[in-house]
Amino acid sequence: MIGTIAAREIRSGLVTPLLWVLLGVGQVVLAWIFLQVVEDFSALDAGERPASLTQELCLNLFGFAAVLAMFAAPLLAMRMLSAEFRDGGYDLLAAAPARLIEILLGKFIALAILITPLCLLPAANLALLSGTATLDLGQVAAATLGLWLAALFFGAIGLQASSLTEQPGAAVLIAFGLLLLFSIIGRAESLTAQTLSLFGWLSWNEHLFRFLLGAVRLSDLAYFLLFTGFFLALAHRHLANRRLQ
Amino acid sequence: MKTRAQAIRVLVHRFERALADTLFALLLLGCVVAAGWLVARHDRIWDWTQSESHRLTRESRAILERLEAPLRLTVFADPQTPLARMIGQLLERYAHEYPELEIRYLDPRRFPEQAREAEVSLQGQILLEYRGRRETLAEVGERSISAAIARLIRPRHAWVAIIEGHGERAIAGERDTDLGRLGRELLELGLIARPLDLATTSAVPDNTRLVVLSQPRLPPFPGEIEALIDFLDRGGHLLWLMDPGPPSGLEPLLEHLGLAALPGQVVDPEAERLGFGTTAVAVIDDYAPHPLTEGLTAPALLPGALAFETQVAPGWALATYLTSRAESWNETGTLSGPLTRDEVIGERAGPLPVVLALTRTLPESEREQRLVVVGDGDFLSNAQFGLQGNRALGLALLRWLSEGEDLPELPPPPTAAEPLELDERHRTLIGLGALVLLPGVFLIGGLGMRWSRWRGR
Repeated sequence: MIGTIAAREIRSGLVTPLLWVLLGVGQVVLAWIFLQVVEDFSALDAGERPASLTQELCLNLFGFAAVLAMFAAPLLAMRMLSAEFRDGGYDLLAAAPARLIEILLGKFIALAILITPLCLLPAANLALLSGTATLDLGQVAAATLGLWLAALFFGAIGLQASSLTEQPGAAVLIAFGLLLLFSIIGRAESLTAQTLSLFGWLSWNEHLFRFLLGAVRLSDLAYFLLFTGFFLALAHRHLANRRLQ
Repeated sequence: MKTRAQAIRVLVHRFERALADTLFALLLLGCVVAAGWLVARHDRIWDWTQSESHRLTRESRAILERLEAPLRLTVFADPQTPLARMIGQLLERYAHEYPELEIRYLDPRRFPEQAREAEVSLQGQILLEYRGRRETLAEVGERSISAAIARLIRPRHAWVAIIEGHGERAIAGERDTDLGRLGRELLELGLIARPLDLATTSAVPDNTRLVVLSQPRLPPFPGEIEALIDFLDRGGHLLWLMDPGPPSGLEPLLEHLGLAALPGQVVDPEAERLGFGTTAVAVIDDYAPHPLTEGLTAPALLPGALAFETQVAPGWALATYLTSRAESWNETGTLSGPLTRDEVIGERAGPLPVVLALTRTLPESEREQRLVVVGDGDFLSNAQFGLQGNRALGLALLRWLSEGEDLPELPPPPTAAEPLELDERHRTLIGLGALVLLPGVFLIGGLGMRWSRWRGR
């Protein structure tokens, strides 16, 4: 059942121009940053190169790709629940002999698959450099994994926001608000003691940063997976409420 | 008429679901935070980079393995500042390798007393404490921290005397010909390098294990040479950096050791290929297998070097020697014009010995006495120290000479990142690939989808 729902969502995601426009525009902007970093780096003298080319590229490209994913995920997610509430598609789905969790997971898996090409974009750009420069493939792999996990986290937030309202526009705004909160909450760290930096832990930037440097930490993995699960659970509860009403 | 209780019940009933939802969300968030905290307590880290850049180097790990008691680090910085966080990231690697590491942060502005006691003058300095010994670091980096830990592990530091007073290369000097860079390396290794003027002190102090002698500009007094020979007779180690030209007063020492230098200086017509402006360079690129040369691979460049005969005085044994390349010879004439070897005037074909390592065992001591004579002092000078394998060779010589001192191996100094060289063709290809090829794929993909949908209708 999960597979059927996911396949349907993927198909409908692919035939609309939204995903293709996101990928195309995202690639043009990424290419701009990529060429800029490569150009700057090749002009540097030996003493001025503080970090390796891989690190420079990873921090810039993947960092921007994460922002891109932050915008893309709610846009892709809004169609999955919000728009279906509005045009009645969801009522049909809810009437089908499928458990709520299956519907939600199907949609989430479809979202994860749809956003994967976006996560592979920086690596595709780096592949253009193969042959001219030696890149640290392990670091690129870690950065791609981190980006993908972050995209899953954004997707889960998008789905949760999408389950709240029948207005797709409002769903996107709610998701952006939540994501913005999670992006800047780390700034509030000075409010607490250093040893208890809860707010710093809550913001996703710090966790992604470790991945971009090539270090895979258990606590960073746990952060993304736990919050993905958290927002999916909230969405599930909201869908269950909807069924009760 | 409704009672107040009823009104409250209605109100609660109306918001029941919202309250339950909020409570659910808060409890779930609490669970998530608790789980995250638990994972952070038992954190693990996997370094995926091929350069292992998130791990301490092999040398640092070897140093940490020798720690036997808790090590305490005090970082004098405000923990909120970016500087303190940067230091924290570095220290995390040490804590990961050595869990008994105790790290604390002190803001020098809030704790001026402790900062003054630790002789801290800058933000971000680190005080290391181990078994009652302490040291404050001026610069922060893996190399300096590891070197400081290595120094703290060793309770006693050996003295190295550098003979000065007659225009020799100065150990604290910063001129091109001086040995200032070598001096800093010695300090990092935990050796106490002090200049020694034998004109004012009549003998080499007893606590000195190693003497470094470079070519004097003025001949020393005979008494000074006697003091050196006396030091050798007592079993001291010597690193002698000679240079081409007359030995200016050191002849008795040469005689004492039974050494004979070949006339002229070593030239190598192939040396220019190695990026050196002149041919008057002895290139050592073939290291004979010996404990002295262990781990040496990069060629060492000795500009303006003297070659030796392989003879030593009776009693001494030639442990090993390093030679210049086979294409070299000792040129006795001027270095201008095309150089050719002339056998008749004593110009010998390479390989010629340019570094001699001598040993002997004194009757009353069990220890082996070690001596290294190098036909050149420039390779350790400030100007040439960083060239190719010069630093490695110099440190290998010192390591061999300070046998029994258990000198630590320090992590290599950070090197600049690998450069990126692009020609026009590469630039164009990368630009086209990123700006045309990849967006084009998505454009075609999107249009193809539209077209297939239109066909399907």
